[in-house]
Amino acid sequence: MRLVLFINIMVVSLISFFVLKKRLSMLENIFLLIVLEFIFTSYCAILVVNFELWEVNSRIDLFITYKIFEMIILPLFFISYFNLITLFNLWWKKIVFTVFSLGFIYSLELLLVQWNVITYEGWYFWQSIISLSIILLVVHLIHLNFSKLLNKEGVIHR
Amino acid sequence: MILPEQFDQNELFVLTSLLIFYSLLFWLPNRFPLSLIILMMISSATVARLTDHLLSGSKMNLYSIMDLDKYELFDFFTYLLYAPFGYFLVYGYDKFKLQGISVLLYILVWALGATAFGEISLLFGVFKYKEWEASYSFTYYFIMISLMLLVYRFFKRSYKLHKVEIYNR
Repeated sequence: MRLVLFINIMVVSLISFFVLKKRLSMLENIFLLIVLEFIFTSYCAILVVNFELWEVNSRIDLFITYKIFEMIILPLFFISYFNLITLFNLWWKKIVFTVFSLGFIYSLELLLVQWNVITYEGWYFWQSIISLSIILLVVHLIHLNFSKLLNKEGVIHR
Repeated sequence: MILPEQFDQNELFVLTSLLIFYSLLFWLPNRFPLSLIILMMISSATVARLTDHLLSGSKMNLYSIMDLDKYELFDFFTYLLYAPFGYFLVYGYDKFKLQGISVLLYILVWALGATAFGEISLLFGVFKYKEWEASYSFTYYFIMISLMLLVYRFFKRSYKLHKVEIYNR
């Protein structure tokens, strides 16, 4: 049931992402996907394997649920965030949207905790929120530099 | 990230390879725009990271990298080794303007070369095979190199398309 629900969330996210008009260029979206995949797999490996702060349920359906979350849903939501944030011009609207997005992404992690897919071992919810915020900031800075480069090369025009 | 238990041959092998690969990368004449180089290099590193995460992670422990079964600092350095690998792959493909059956031969040579490099890495203790074999490496590289060349063609087309769109405004 949990796996099926997460597969459904994944499919809805994928379809929504592909049908919605993207605000960023194709190269920027691919760049973000690659960077986010690297960062999230490293982040989760450090938490689960290195420090054992998260314990992932060994039941195969729950394990797959976790992998879908880590490798598809998290990167996809972050890419969507970077596309949607460009819709807002005022700084306070951007902040409100960022807080809402982080809350939404964390609520999915919370769902995994509630369903015993992940068990926190000496880890607290606020640490997840801080980690996600730091990842968001780092990816934003990396993206900003890549966009500047594309702009300089005449590939995008902003 | 975790530091190595002992600084020995596998760490030295990774650092030496990094030095050689990146020296070669900077020595070669530039063929691509910087954004394409960045895209190709981080794609290669990410593909390697995803593969290790899935095949050498907790559930499917087919092989391990470096000293421990954990995500070490030198695991990260091995991903940095894959970045110039992707660059050299597309560099040769673009330079020789390969067409037809020569593309297949090029991929085969690269897959054999990558498998051989993997085996040398094994001798130096960078990888430790558990249920993995060299034949799997060859098949893996054969598929991945083909995909990387397709991805490169896609990047190049997208790059050109975007440029054309801007010039036509």
